[in-house]
Amino acid sequence: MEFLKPGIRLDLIGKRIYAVIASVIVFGLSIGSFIWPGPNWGIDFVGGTEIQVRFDKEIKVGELRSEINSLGLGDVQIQRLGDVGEAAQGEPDFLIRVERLEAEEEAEDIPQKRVSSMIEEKLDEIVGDGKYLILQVNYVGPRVGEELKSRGIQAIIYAIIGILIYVAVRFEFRFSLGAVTALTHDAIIAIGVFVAINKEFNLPIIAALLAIIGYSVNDTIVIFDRIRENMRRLKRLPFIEMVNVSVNETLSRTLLTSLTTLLAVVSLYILGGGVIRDFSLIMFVGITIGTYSSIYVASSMVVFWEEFRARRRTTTPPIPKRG
Amino acid sequence: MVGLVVIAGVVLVPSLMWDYNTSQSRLPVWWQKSFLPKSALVMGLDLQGGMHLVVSVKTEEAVENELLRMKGELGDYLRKEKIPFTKVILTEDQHLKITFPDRQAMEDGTYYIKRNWRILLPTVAEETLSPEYELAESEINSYRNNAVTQVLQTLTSRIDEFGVTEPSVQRQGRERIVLQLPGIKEDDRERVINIIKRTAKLEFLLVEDMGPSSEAILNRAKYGGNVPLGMRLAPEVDNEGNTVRWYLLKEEPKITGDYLVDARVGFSGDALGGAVVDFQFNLRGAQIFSKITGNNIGENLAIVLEGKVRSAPVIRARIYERGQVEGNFTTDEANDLAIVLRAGALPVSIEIEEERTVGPTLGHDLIAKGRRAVLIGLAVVVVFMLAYYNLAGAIATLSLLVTIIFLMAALAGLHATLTLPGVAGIALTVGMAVDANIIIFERIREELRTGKTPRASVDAGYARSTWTILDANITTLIAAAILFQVGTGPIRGFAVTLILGVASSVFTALVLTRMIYDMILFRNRRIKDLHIGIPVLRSTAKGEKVERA
Repeated sequence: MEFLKPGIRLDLIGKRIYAVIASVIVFGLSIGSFIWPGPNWGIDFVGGTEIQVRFDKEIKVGELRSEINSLGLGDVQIQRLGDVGEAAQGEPDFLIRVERLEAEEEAEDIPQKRVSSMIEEKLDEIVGDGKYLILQVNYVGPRVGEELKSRGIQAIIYAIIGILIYVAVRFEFRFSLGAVTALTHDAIIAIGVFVAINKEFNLPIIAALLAIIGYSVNDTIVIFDRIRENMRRLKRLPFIEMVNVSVNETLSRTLLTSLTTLLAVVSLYILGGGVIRDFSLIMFVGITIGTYSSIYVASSMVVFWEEFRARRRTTTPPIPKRG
Repeated sequence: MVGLVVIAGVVLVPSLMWDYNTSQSRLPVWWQKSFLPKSALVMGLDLQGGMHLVVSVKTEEAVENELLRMKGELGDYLRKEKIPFTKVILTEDQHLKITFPDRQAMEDGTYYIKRNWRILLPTVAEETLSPEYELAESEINSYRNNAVTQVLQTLTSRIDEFGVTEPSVQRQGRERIVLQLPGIKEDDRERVINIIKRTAKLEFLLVEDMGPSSEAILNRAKYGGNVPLGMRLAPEVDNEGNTVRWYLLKEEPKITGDYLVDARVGFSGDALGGAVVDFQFNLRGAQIFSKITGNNIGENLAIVLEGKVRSAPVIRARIYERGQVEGNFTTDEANDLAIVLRAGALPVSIEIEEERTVGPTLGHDLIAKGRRAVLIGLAVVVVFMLAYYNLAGAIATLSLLVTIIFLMAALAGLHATLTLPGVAGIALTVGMAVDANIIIFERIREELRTGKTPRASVDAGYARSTWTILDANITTLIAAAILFQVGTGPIRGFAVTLILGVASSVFTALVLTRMIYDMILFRNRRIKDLHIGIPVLRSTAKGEKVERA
């Protein structure tokens, strides 16, 4: 079976201007979304308590929220979760989230972890003890939250640097430029999508981002490898055409790999619960964009750099002919 | 290669024979006694359910306590040496400041301290009647360190007493401790946190006076509004947290819970029921206790737990070893108190920095779902590979299965923890393992289309793709390695899975599949059709390559 005809020669790189425009727009939007509405930082980064509760029967969210609000614990968010686990119909799962109270550092009587007890007591009041089940409790203190945030950002930066060095060593500098452009593009847009759908940013998301970065570069390198090979083989072709040929030659493989990985990710999304679901969603977005960026962004960058250098070369005065 | 697979299989057997519900191994005894691997795959807490706690130890308290103690000792020693001084205080920035009445005393004093108290260093060089001293850096560090070690031991005992299967209490960095407690049920969560957090400082002090409030006591004539030297105020608090009464307690003589040798739950004789905690002192403790009680018959002895008075019964007779702490405890409360008394008091207080608890219900849900997701994802990919690449697809499938076996075996053998993100990592590995195979197969197809023989195409295909695959996967490894460094808990699980997965998938793709091809080609040297999913070319009379009809 073959999806693409062997001798395929789409003028992909020639049409790159459209892709660049599209990318720049989406990229700009993503960056914009950092400012407004801004990422929804989860408790892993800002601290707070999150409790996942399963009730025996339906309850009204509004009621629940006002009851918990009355505890005076500050910002309260309540989210209804889809069917996590084998909850039968009418056994809804809720996520109650309370952000850390500011300036409550040394308050002996309301140490954050007792937030969970206070909420439990409240639940006893509202539905009755035994009519609900605590599935999960997460608490992150302010110090740890800060640390996790900075470590998360560090991780991403180091990863990008590490990759840049490796690609520069194995290929050439302009390739590593292309690779880094592509993966930054992917990471930012992936984050942008997440902000757009208002998903919570927690540590697993950072892990997913790093996975996306790794995967995108993986893709990009396969194409670069072919470009490198063709640089030697197709010396007679102008640079841009040679790149186009390379991209076309690897198109089959690039698309196939993305397809198979997406198949795996989609089944994770459908069948996984909770954390796995969020994770696979961001992976899906990341892989799609990663493939696109490997084909267009990375190679375009290489072409652009080459043309940029070529232009610089032609403006230097020509060497006078001998004799 | 077959050998490797067998080894991997053997490493995995314990995991398959492990009953996750009871944390027992079902391996036959002869296996357990042999050198063969026995440890099963470690499930992360987010999969099997349990508590993950990070606490920070307030080591500053240790330093402060030491300094306070030194303050007292310094005063005593100066007096013994007959060096006059006005006072010794502990300043806000943790310095000991001694005020001398005159120059001679100051010189004697500073000389004495310099000779006998090496760990105290002067803070300023000039001479003054009120020199300040600070504790040497090395001393401070050693106190802090000791505090953490002590807390570590105490917490470990407490957890042991509580009865958790396979708990883990480890130091993290300089001042943090990580506790992993698998299998904690949702209801027990609060109890465990309380057991861990309480300092459990138990003291027995003689009562000087009592009253409805602290002001009421102090306003009495003999105190004149101040707390007398060597005494302290403490409230008596009931179970709701309301203050019932205030006491003025004598600091000396006293005895603390350090001398306890045992503590048990008991039941008080009176009609109210309620549990109590019966305790027993060790030999030395019994001596001290009998002296205190013997000399103060008719007085009240306050039993002070964590700074609050629990009860203050009248001493009717000399008591040697045993006593009782009461306070309307439920059985659970009494039990927990007994546990902490047995394990010992915490030298300093601790603060909970992070808690992640997954109830067993959710844990089991997620394991089931995760397993299903991976299997179905796998199945889908396999079906696709077979359809698209035919025979080569079958080879890829085999290599995929072996990859997963290797991956799981490596996880089990290394005692790495499988977490929920780890399961996602396995799914990702599946995708990338397939990727490596796809690269090779596409290359082989290309070579075939140029007219090479199957043999040559396979050779060329592998030769050309090896570095591509290596380059591509190494970058993923870099990302995963960084994740491993920087991440904690579940994230680390993901990174480990990814690293091992990528490594094993590259290995199987390059080595295993090659071996299989070699075997096939060895059998039929002039094989015409590789069954790799593309039409086979055949030479026409004109020497062209044309598709076989």
